Amino acid sequence: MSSDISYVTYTLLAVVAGLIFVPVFLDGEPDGPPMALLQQSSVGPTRQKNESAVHRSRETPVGFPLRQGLGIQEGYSKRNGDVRDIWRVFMQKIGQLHTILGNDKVVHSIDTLDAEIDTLGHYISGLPTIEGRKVVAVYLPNSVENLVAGFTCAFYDFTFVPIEYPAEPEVIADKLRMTNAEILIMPAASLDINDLNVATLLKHVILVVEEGSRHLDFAADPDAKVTLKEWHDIAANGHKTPRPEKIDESLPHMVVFSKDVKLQKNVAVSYSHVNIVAAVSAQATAPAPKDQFQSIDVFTPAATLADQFCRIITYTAMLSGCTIIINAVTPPSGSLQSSCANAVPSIIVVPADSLSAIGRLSKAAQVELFHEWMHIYQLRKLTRYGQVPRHSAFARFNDYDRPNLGKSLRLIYVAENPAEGTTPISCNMLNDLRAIFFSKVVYALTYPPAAAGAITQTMSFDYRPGEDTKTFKDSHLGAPLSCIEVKLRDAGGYTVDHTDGPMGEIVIAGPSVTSSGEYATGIIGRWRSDGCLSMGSKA
Amino acid sequence: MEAQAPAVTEAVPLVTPLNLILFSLAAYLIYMRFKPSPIPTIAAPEPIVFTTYTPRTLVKYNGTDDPRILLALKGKVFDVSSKPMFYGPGASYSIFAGRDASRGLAKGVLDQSLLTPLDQKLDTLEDLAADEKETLQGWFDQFVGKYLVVGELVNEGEEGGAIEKQ
Repeated sequence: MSSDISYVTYTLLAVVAGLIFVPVFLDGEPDGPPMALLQQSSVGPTRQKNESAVHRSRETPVGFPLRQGLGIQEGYSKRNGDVRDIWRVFMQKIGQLHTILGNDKVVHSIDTLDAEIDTLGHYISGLPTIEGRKVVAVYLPNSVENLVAGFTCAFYDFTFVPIEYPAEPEVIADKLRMTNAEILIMPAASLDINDLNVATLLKHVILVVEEGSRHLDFAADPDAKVTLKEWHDIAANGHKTPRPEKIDESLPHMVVFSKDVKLQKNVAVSYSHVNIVAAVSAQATAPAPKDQFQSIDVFTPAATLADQFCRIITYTAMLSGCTIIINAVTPPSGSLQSSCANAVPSIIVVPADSLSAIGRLSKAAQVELFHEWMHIYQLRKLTRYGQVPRHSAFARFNDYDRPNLGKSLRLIYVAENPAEGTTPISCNMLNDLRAIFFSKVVYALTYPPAAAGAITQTMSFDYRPGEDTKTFKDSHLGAPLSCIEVKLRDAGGYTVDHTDGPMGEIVIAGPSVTSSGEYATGIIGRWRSDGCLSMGSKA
Repeated sequence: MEAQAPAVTEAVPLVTPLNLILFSLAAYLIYMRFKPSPIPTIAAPEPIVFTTYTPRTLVKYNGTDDPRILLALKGKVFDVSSKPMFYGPGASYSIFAGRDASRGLAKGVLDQSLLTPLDQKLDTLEDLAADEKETLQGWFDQFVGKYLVVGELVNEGEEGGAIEKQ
């Protein structure tokens, strides 16, 4: 018998031992508990006849109150807070605000910005307007002035109307008309103002002049039919009025523009302070604890701040005291890489269409066999071991063409918006994106006319591959956020008694929803058995 | 003198029982590593459909004719199946199973005479004394916290209206 043991036996022994022990030491832990993905929402025990059961976040199960606000500690009690508290917390946590100008990084002094809020608030308060409540339209690219204008409106109780930049003059005039805005903040020399105040109520324009052009006097335009003033001039003046003590939290604070799926037209949607703080606070706790915003994070909004989802995420980052790095270049007009250049962000927000375009292009760039093998290995790591691929020289060896956003990137927020008609990103495509960016991706459902922020969003460690049904694409949008409850209602041939799971029109309610009761969105969804919402065609 | 055996180099035995066992073990481990794993699912309980009951349709949910035990309180129908030791057949409160328990609980009396007969209109409870109303509200709050509201109780012939209202 002893003669049987040869080097073949020893080799086999080594192979078996290796197969047993190497995984123990090298496989590592999954990024999140896999069992937590099996039932992601808290489902109501009863339902109405033509409706699905109410689905809620596991954080605020059925029977408990939904998340209302920021929970700012004041003495022994907590209050919900409003948008002003986001800025206060940002200052208190010593968050930083940087702007990228080409190769230069401008570090802003938060105290100076805080003073700018006061001077701008003083100036706008003094402007004569027809309507009692001042409506301030802000047509600015992503910039620190854009954020400051938003918080000025919060502190001095104006209505804040962010307008997407760049846009055609007719589009801007249309949006000014829809909101009756009399005050506009815009970059100097970006538009002919006399084009705008035709058929709008526009009376006052504040011009943001970049530092290099401040020797020119943009405010002195003899043809102008509106009062012109330069932002830096207002700030240099230094006149302040004390901030109002109380503001009305139920009045509209921010107005966003969106298409309404049901009405089939463009609408101006008002969000109150309550809507926004509920969305922000729910977003702050929505990802798994170790993926949530931390003060060491560097956040870059790589989407326009006029988009409500991008703004809500930016506010969430400010609430956590992150470093906010702003670049005026954003997709889709600019590239993602240039939008994050010199920033080394750890968390970004990207528009869905731009992200899926990057996914397609990068996938097509994997021309070599090594690229494909590496990708397959990384997908296996994701789907089987629940781990996001890590940066390594080996993984990027002889690399293909993909955006390089730096090694700190850990979380990408991307939102599906049925109002814009974005193509849903499938689960497998999200996994491709995770492998391409070496980062987690959170995929959210937003519908601006219905609710501030996200309605549902995927768990940050949900890397499961897609499942197919006949009616619905293999994409899912995760479970509701903690400030919202979601149910489906029979609509147009879709029934909640369907064998593939309840299907129907998405109906939402909660503090982040724009109407006080239920809001029927007109978008068709389906509940999967794991409590996630998957989206189909429109009603 | 015996002839010495010639020193031959012995061929390495490749197929031996030990090698075969080790080889199949290695093959099994590799198979287990690459085997596609199905995504597990857990079956969640089906939500109960909120239903409109009349005294006649409710009466069968008494734990005997139907395993579910329901009872009505102030127009709401509660599912008390989780506590058969109170409301099950033969238990102390079993007379309320499948019936409108409002008057009985308000007065704190377990008596058939306090149950509204099935062919009569629903009890409006207007003649109760203030302390009885308070007791009833106490019971109601306790029930809301403990049991599921699975429907509402209406008069016969009114159940269509309740559905149309939605």
